[in-house]
Amino acid sequence: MNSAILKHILRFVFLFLFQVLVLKQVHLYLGSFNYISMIIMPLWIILLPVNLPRWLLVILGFATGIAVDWFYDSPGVHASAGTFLAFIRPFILDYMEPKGGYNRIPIPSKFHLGLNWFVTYASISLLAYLLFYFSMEVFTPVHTLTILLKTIFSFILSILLVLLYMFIFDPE
Amino acid sequence: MQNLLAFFYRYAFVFLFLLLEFISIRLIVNRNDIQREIYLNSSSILSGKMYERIGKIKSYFGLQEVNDGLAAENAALRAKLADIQLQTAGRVDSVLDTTTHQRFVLLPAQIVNNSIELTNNMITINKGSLDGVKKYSTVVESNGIIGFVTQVGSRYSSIMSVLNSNARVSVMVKRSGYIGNLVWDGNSPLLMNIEAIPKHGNVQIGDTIVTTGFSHFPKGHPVGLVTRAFVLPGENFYLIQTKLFNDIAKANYVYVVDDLHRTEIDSLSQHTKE
Repeated sequence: MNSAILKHILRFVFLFLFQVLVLKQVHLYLGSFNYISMIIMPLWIILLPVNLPRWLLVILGFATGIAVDWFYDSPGVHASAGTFLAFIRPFILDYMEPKGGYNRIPIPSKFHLGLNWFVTYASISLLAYLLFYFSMEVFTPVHTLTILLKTIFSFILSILLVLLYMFIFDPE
Repeated sequence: MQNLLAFFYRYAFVFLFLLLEFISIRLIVNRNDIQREIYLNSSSILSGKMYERIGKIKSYFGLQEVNDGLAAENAALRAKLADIQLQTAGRVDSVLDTTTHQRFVLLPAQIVNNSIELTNNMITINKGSLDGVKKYSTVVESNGIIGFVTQVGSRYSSIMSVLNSNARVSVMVKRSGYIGNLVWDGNSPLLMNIEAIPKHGNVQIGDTIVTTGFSHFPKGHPVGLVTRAFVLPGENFYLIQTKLFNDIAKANYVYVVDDLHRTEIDSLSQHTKE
């Protein structure tokens, strides 16, 4: 098997287990302030190869979400967010295209495109995912404030985890 | 043709995206109770709010009529109050009265969404669980009945209108006391039929129909007048048509009736069934 594909599979397994076995068990409260969940699974979608066909990307996003939903007991919620992130990722990449384009860049990571670029890219992606995720979870636009608070607080912790991962593994 | 295929190929991921989102939302709605509740509840927050805005505008047009109705109701209540005060006027000391208990609690509400043209009409009111509305409570107007609460949201509730093919209300002829079921045939919103009054019931045109209290509507609440009553040859039951006192199409201010004895009554009839 192609070693690049193997890497992606291994990353999937690692992130998935970390998400459902560790992060799901952590319940963070600040008093009655129950807005924080840590979500790292989108990182897998974020780090998928740049030249992946869009349709495949969308399917993988959906599959990732469904897998997480399986353990979060929330069928469809992560799946819809994963599909959404996979759908908009090419647009984000187009928008952030570096001067030389993405030629010879296998995956959009810190290693290839630098810390600043990656932080911006990962932040946009993660925010999109979380915003969609919490919108679907709350499921009514009436509680917009709740959705925004959940998104912001979860984003802060999740992006820290994402960066931690990038510094530890620094995927190529 | 080739262009069309190329178009589909190029935008396949968009269709795929929409399809997968649709599947996700179906999953969310089908398997997550909370979201299902929100989704099903037509009375829920967003549509309820919208309906309420529209209702507010609409209610200006019927203000005169509403006022008249409320004034009439006030007058009737005042007359009753005078009765009560007369009875207790002679009392020197207060007495703990254990012979009468309150059975029904009324909660005022306003209709924010209503339909009469369907076979199964539903109504939305602007009171929900936060205001103490309970599922299966009944809803009445000062001069007639409206329906049953079927879904309770936090701020709004859905009501199965009596103008609904699934609604059955136990009613009786006030004069003779014979009991039957009030059903709607789906035609005029002003006319309803009464089933199961036996042919010896001697129903006459112009008889008043009131509720029995069996369906958790307050006993003796006015329903309508008999406009047609006849027995087909060879049948044992009357065919009765009644004209409702209230026009549900215009209903605006209503009362949610909570039957405090519901649990007891229902558990007894449950035992009987077993």
